Amino acid sequence: MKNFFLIIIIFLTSCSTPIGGAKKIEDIKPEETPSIETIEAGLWMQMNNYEEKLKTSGSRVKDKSLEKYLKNILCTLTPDYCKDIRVYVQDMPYFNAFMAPNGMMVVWTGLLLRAQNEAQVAAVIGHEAGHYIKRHSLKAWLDAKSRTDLMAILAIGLAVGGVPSGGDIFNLTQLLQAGFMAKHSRDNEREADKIGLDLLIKGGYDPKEAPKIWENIIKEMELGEVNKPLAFLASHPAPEERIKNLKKQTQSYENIETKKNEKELKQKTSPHLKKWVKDEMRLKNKVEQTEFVIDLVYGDNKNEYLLKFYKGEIYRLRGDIENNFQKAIDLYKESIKLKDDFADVYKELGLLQLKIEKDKKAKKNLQRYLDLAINPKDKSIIESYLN
Amino acid sequence: MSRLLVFFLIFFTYSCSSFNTEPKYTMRTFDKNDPKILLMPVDISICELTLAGMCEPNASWTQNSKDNIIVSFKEILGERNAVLVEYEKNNENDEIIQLIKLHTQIGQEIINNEYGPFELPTKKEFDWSIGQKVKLLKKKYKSDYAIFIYFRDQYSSTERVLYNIVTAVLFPGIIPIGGSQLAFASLVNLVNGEISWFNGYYRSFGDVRDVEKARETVNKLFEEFPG
Repeated sequence: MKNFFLIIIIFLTSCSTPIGGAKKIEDIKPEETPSIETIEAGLWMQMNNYEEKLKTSGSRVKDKSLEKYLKNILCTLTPDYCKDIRVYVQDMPYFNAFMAPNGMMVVWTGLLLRAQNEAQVAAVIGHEAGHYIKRHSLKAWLDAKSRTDLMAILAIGLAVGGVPSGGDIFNLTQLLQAGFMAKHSRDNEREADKIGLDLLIKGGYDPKEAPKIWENIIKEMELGEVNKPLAFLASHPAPEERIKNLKKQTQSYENIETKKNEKELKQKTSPHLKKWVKDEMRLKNKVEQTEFVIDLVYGDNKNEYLLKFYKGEIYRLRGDIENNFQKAIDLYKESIKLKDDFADVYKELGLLQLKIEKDKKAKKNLQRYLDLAINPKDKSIIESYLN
Repeated sequence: MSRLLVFFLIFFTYSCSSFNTEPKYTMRTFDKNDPKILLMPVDISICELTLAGMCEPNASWTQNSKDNIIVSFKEILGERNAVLVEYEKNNENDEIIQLIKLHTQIGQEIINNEYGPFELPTKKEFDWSIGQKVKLLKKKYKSDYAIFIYFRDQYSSTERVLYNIVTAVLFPGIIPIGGSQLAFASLVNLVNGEISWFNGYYRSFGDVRDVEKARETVNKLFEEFPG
């Protein structure tokens, strides 16, 4: 009887695709679409459905010009695949971007908030395009399939072979499998990094900006909870390794240009910054971590009053512990010293003063807010505090 | 790893809950002769279960099944002298896409609340609606009703079937999940958005990949359809 099962298990193993995919999968060609019988067509179908929903999703940022701007960056990097890839911006306050097999690229607002110039965004877009060109979604699917198949067979095999506890087998096979998957995904990331940097340099951007993104992410991570790394990093190579690889690869190029386009990016993102910064603060990361992000956004001299204001906001939103409200008030006052006609700061200062000091200054500041703000939505509620 | 566990749990829960509905309706016959019925894009996805039970989407099966369902549905309308109006993909806009998404959501709520585990204790009448926005469709397509069809189906691969047999023999009591079918359809009155007729089912048999069996499935889905 045991032999019979063994034969079946061998048969099952032979049906499943070999791990890592024995057949070499070619790069996707420009304007290529998979033929309908293929597994790839199934993945495309599923993502087309998803994309259809994303298009009208409330989480998509309603700014066509921002998406068009990102698409233009993509087309500068890789004119060949310009027609094949669509870029969407999704309102998510985390550092992430992803590429679907059908050419749907999604960039999260948390990434755009952190990027300091166009070259950094281009580095990410180039990386994602690399995933598309190398068909990484298909490879990852085939890989996951063969690994889960093997795991299922192994579980039976071990049980038949007389290994005592079922629970242990499950754990063992699962662990093996999780380890393999993470490694495979890190290999794909390395490959995409390589293509991304190549496209970045050919597109005339400053390749030194690519490792800078990771340097900033490391800094941000180190300021946060030690045991809470950014979700993005779980399936990606360690940032330190990526920085090293990117710098090394850059050395192999000659005639490197240094386009950064800082102004261009800021111009496109500025209408959204207020909201994105608010969303970032709502995550309630550690104060230092949020401050670091705010520094990235408003760190240049021109905007120091905003930097002070938002740092004040970080403290205010954490509630009245550890003297937070007083810290916030001090920062608001510093902001006013730098620029005395920014409406929002008077409102928050006034409201806090009303809360903790109940003094005349509160009313004065709230009145100043009403004088400066253009059609404030909260006009009537603020007025009710004044009377 | 925890994600995999969640997947297993979902599959397990799905396998336990099965429903076979009675059609729900607010009308038995159309309120006019030869009504015009707009067929909305069929929301369909068919996949193949891999050995370990992953659901691998299959574009070719999905396309065939979709064609089969549409052919069968046209026959049903033909018997009732209703006129079918074709949906124009090129002529769609965001508001119409939102309507389709809304219908999918409401359809799932109907299943949960009318047949499923979350039956609403005080809701006695079948009075669901997808809202006044449907007037857009009425205007654009000059139709009286719209029909929405939602279809999800899985088929086991050969490896999966063998694996199921081996597991069942070796570990009595554990039955891995085979293929299963979830479908629902609703007829929406384009004057006010009300759902005039609804039916759905969840079962572990049936096949829509060939036209004969699809006809049977679609006939089952359109039980007690007005006309």
